[in-house]
Amino acid sequence: MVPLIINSLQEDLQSRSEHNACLALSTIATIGGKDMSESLAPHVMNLLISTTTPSAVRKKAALCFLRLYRRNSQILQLDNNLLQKFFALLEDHDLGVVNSTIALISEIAQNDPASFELATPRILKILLKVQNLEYSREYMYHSVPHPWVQVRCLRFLKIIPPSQKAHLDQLTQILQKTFNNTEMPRNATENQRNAINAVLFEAISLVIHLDYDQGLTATVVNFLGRFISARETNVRYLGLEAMAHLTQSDSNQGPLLRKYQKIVVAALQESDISLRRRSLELLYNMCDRESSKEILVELLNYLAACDVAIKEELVVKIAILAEKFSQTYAWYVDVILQLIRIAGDYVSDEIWFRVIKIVTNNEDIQEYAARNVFKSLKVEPWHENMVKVGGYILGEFGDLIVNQPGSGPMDQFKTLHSRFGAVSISTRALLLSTYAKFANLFPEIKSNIREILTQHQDHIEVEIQQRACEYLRLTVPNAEQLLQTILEAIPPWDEKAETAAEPAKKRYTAPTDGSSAAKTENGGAAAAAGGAGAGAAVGTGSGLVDLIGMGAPQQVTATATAVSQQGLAMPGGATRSVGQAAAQLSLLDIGTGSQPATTPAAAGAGGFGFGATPTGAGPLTGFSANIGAPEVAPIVGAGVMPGAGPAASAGPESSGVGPTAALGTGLTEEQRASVQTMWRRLCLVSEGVIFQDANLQIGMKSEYNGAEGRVMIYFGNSSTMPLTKFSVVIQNVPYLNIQCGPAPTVIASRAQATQPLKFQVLREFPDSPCMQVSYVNVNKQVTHVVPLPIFLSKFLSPPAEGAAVAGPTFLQKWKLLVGPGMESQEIFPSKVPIDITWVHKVFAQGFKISVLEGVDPLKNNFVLAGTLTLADGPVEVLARLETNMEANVYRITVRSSRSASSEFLKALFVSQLQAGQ
Amino acid sequence: MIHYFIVQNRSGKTRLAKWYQPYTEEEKTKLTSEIYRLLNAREAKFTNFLEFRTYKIVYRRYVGLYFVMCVDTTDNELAVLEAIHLFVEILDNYVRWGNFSLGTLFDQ
Repeated sequence: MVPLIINSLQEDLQSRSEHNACLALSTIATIGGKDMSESLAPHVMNLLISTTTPSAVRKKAALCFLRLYRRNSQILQLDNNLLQKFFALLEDHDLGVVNSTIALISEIAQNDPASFELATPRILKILLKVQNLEYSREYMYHSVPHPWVQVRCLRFLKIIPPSQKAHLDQLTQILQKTFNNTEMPRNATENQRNAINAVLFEAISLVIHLDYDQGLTATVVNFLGRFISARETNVRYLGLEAMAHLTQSDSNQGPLLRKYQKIVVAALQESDISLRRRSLELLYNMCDRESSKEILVELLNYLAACDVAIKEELVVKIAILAEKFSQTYAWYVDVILQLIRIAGDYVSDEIWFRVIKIVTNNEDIQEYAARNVFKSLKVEPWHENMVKVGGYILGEFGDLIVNQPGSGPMDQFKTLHSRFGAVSISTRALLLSTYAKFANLFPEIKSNIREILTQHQDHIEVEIQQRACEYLRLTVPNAEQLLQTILEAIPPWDEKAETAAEPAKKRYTAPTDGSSAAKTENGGAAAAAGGAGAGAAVGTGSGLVDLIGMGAPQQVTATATAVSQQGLAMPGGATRSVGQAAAQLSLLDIGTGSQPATTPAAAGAGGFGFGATPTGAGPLTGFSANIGAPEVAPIVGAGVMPGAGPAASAGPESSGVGPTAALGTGLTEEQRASVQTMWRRLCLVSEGVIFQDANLQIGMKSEYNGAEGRVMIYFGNSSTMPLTKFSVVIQNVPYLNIQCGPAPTVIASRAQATQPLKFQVLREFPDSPCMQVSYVNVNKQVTHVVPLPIFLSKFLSPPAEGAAVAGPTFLQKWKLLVGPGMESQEIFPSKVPIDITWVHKVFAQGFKISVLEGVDPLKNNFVLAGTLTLADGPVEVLARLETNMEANVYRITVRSSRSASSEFLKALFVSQLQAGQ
Repeated sequence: MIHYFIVQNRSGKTRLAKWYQPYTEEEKTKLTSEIYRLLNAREAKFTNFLEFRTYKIVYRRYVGLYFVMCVDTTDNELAVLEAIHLFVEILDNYVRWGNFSLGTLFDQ
């Protein structure tokens, strides 16, 4: 049936009657399935470019082709000839044809801007002609020369802006004329005004987009200032929207726009939600250091009055602004407390977690926060989120305000407990933890607390019941030391690790001292979750919940186990007697419900959790994300364990450049091999250990996006003494533009510090940059040169979706890439028997490029396509890998338009494949 | 890009609809009723634009009919608004030629 329909449509397309052809085009555009578009697209294209087609049909053909192209961009085979045809269509005398053609090429140009650079002068010409009324009168719309064509042309110029000076001047002229022609005739109809404004707003948007010269920007700012107080609501709306666009693309406009702030704030009171949303967005963008206080006061005022539809958005925005622009933390705490008071229901967990974290990390506001939270807790009406924050903060820092009148231990306890009956189970659980902390902080109210805990021993909720039982056991008389150790104050959060991707790992600081309950709870929880999808299970934010102890019901049991594991595994000399506490814990027999998951996880830790990971579980999770845990585990072991001995390079000598030279100093052959394996592995994974000696362990996590990369370097001090005079110097290399974040200067014993790096790749490179790390440990200066695992291949990505390379296209492109240096080939033997599935994994998951199926008929051969993004643009990289299983030999061929890309990438591929897994 | 174009009367009945995206029937019903609910609550002096899900709705009321276009948020709202008007003008001309008055169409 389908072929018949297609056939009949094809006949209609060629029909002499315009109506038949038009109807056929409409049908194709509306139905346009795969078969239809494949077999009919060439005919539609013919109609579009043939010289004999009537204008009415040509218009439709352009639009029909556009519809087909949107669904499947493969139907278009763009060559120079066709481009010229398109350009000729742009010069058609019929404005309708021109309009449809611009619509079509705008869409194509988005995928392939390079080919359409020559269209820009033609578009400018059309604009001029429209403005000079050179097209037929029937395209006047309410005395405005075809506004839609003007809008379309201006939008096209956003995609491909003019690059030559002459064209830029021409554009400036056109824009100036548009801006000058905005005086509305007195008797203008609504339609006329709208049409003029449509063009005007498009021109404004273009000026903002192109980041135009100052003269025009000033005009635009003036226009926008007028618009946002215009009488017509539509114009006000668009004015606010355009202004938000302006603030977003150019933050320097802040002072210029400050004078409009009042008007924008007033727009928050509009009854139309569309306007309110725009004004909120704009205020949010306008906010900077100077205006933040004022704007936030306005927003908080508005929050109290605004309706539900916008409240949630508003709360998040206020929280972000408050944090971003807070000059003092006290002010930030005030804002968030106010936020909870006014709109507690809309304050998500992330927001109050954040405030707790900031308070915990900044000693100087802890007292202030405790005082204010306590005050807010007493205010009616109260919100549950306030109880949560209050419970947490008072539990940690309640002792700081205990001497102030009216906030003694009993007052604090009573205030919190007065809310106990009315809050949810999870909050109650949190409060029980707070009480346990109180029992530690204020021994005088221990008996009251024990009373409450006793009441909840047989609570119907297992979570409450368990906590009550456990805390009751902890607070028995004569166990003060244990209580103190377990309920020790929370150490500061690791701010840097916070930004890292995996939530299960990110909230953990190295076990610097004794283990507070909450802290180890997290350790326990993370360990218990083990390697298997810990991140997914815990989720963003809920890591914090765990810290306060609301995660798995058996946390405290897990705690006990985790504590003992850590305590025992720690290589002696820990400042606090954790080992002792652990032993007591086991004696107390709390840890009966032993956690099988923790045991193996903690065992391999060697007492020091690295890279924000509590135990051995961490590194496993990290690697398994990319390669699979079993393969990696031994490598981590090898890298960490043997390297830790005295063999690692110590002393002030700095060794040469290059991975093996730097890492391998003084290592035995076997260790050197393991270091090499580790290094090679880092080429494929995004995180891992990069260096290890007796005192210092260096790890990294990395993230790449296009030509940019970020690396977070973790320095862990595994010795019992602090590392002082710590300094990090990153080698300056011509191929990377590296920006270094602040480096630590001192790392306390068993603590961890981080340094962020951001860089952009400028051109291809064969090796990796190095960093020089030096520190003083027990009066001994130590310097290491450590290579950073930044490889050219890290900037590879699969080809963009739109340009997915299918079989025939691949071969076509492959054949095009011939020329001196474009190809790099090597035949090399594999050291281990070739494993096809592993090779697939190396490319697809390690190098992150596409392995194309069905291009090469031999299934042991690989066809690969990727995009290497450098600062000056992407380079398409194609590769083929042939395997000879009998001889155990590979042949790899890499092609790209740049010889350095082909050469260096090939070398990286070879180094991975050669050694095998 | 226009995602769909709907003409609804004041009681929420769809008079004309053209979908440029493959929605299922259920989705279409859901979209039309949701849009009606939103538009019906809006006063005449409000803007003709409404952010809706990840798109933007541009609408205009002619006596008893809402003409609604759903477009991308980056599209030019006023150009779309005038496109609606142009469509209505053409419809009006067309209907008048056929000895109808657009009034009857609107009155339904």
